[in-house]
Amino acid sequence: MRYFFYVFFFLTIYFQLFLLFSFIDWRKERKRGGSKREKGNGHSSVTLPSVTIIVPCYNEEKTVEKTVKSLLALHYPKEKLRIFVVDDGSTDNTWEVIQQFVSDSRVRIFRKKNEGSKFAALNYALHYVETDIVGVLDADSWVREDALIHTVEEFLKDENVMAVIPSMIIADPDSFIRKAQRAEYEIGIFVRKVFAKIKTVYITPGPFSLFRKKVFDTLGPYREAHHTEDAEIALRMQKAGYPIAYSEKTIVYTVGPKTVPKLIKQRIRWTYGFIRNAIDYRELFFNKKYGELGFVVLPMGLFRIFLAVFLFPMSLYLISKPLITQIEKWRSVGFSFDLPHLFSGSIDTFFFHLNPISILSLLGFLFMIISIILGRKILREKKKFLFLDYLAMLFVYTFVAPIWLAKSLWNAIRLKKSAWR
Amino acid sequence: MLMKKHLILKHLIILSLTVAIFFAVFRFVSFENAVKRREISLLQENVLIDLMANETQFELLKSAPCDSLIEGSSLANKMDEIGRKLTFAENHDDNLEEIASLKKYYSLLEIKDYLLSKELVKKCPGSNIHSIVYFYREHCEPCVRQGYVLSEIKKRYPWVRIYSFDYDLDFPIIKSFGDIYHVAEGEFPVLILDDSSIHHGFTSVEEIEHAIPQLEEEKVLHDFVEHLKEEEGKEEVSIDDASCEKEEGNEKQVSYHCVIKEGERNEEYVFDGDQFVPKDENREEEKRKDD
Repeated sequence: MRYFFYVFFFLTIYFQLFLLFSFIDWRKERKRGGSKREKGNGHSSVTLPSVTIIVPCYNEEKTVEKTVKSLLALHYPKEKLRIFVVDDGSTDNTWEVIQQFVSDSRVRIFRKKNEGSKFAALNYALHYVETDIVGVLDADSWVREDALIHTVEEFLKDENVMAVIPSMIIADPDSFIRKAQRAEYEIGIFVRKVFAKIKTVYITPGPFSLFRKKVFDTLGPYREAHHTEDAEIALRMQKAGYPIAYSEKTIVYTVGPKTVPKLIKQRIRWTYGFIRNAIDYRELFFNKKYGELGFVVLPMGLFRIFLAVFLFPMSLYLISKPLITQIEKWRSVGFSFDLPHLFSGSIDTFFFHLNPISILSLLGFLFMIISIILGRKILREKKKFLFLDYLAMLFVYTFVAPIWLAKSLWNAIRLKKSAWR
Repeated sequence: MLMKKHLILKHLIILSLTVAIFFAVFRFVSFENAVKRREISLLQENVLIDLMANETQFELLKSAPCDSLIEGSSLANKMDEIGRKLTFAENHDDNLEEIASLKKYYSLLEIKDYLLSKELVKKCPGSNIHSIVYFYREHCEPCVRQGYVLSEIKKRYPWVRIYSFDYDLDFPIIKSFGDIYHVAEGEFPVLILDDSSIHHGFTSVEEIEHAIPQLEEEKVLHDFVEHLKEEEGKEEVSIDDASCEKEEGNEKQVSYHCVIKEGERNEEYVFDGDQFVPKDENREEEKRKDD
């Protein structure tokens, strides 16, 4: 069992070092190429491309208004922005709510029968898209006013870039679970930056990822892809060698599931989708053609799922062991609370027990702090460091994440078997 | 091609860094273990010296006065420290071979100290020496809880001498020692309280307190001396000059009458289960209340 932990820590530390190394690399490059890129700025509105943003909604009467309004408030020439709101057969008042936007020349609304998955709504709208750039904004998210201009800058900077992903932030978290997600997304910024730098982005998230229309014209429309069409299209692009860039200045706010069961449901969908898509795109794995994506990033993503499932019972045991001992003590001698030796004044080094696992965990923790700091630097975050959010995240990751990971893994294995028969 | 080379180099660097980190961590831990080993062998040397001191005590027993003997025989504190370290090492570093050997020496010292204390009790009847001999085995669930109970006893009554023996230790002396009390004939853990009552199976704190009833009174006496030393700054008081007696009368409220000899004078105190009050003040307070 101990060796299991060692393997885990070895791979984790390797991966963390890999992220840091890739990040440092990038900094050097930027300094060199900085002056060259500056020229790309300051474009007039004439050079700006036309953009279509698709807002698919299914029973989102409460949030869709805010989403569309944020799009209308974007700093972008009026005649170059089109907003397609697709009511995917909602059973609530979504259709009535979106009527208020009909008068705006930029907005076009559609209504279709629900087919059970978001990709159908996206493809339905794609038929009507005539602009060179097309993007998606989920109806539970909204954008900052300067979001689009920053994303478009990335397209203008490099004509090879086929898609641009944004920085996602959990807005005003009002529950424990949402606070945990805010911390998680903040860490995600650093990872996203590194992945974009080494061209290994394998997901183009639903909130405000923008594509050149050419992607869909050449690679085909969205696919069902186990309810994770945003992961599938990214993998398909990777396979075709289409670069995906990341615009850290593009800020998208999203809310995230509010309760534990909803979070688990969302994550099962993501993880299950990732596993299934990874199987569908297995030729990317350990293929020289796909470099670090195939050799490090994707295998590590899969490995993490397997490992977490096994590590969970182990860590739970390690955490609960001292607790059980304490309860045993109370059961034997009655309830009493004595302070540990640390406070008694005399500390004998003999009683410091060091084992490799505890030191390695500490190192892993250190790496996590470094990624948080770097992530905040990327965003130029000036807000106070939210320590409690990170505690919440650690809690969620220790106790809740294994549930969705195990369930997704189980679902994936079961379905795989039935597909074989 | 150039790109690929660059990537391979990058990953070679990362790999060697990861290996280096692992190597450093393992080296550090093994260094720590070496330090611990050294400390254990140092403890072993101390135990050897204590064993010899114990021999000498036996010799002295014939001629020396009781007071000095009881003071001098208190290996108990030192043994405690070794005992605690042994338990800790046993729980955390099962791979240290040195522990088994130290445990044997320690058990031997325990037996000798126990025999010495028995002799002392015989020779000096007034001495308040109490002993608990404890036999445990590996893989014995109630033994774990018994350990907690004994720690609690040690915390409440630090002067009680607790001798614990691992019956599964490959050491014949422990078996022969256990045979005196027919340890193997019942279930474990086994406690021998004050060399007289033998308890098989889990024994709670209350049961031990009940079996050694003197503990309660002695606790008051110890607290009394502690009180004099800490609260009233009488550093030089000795427990032999103090005495405490339970006052009969009120059933509900237990009270003790304690006396400390200070040169010619005797200072009297009253303990009401909570604090020690000088008797004169006590009387004055009572008078004031009466007025």
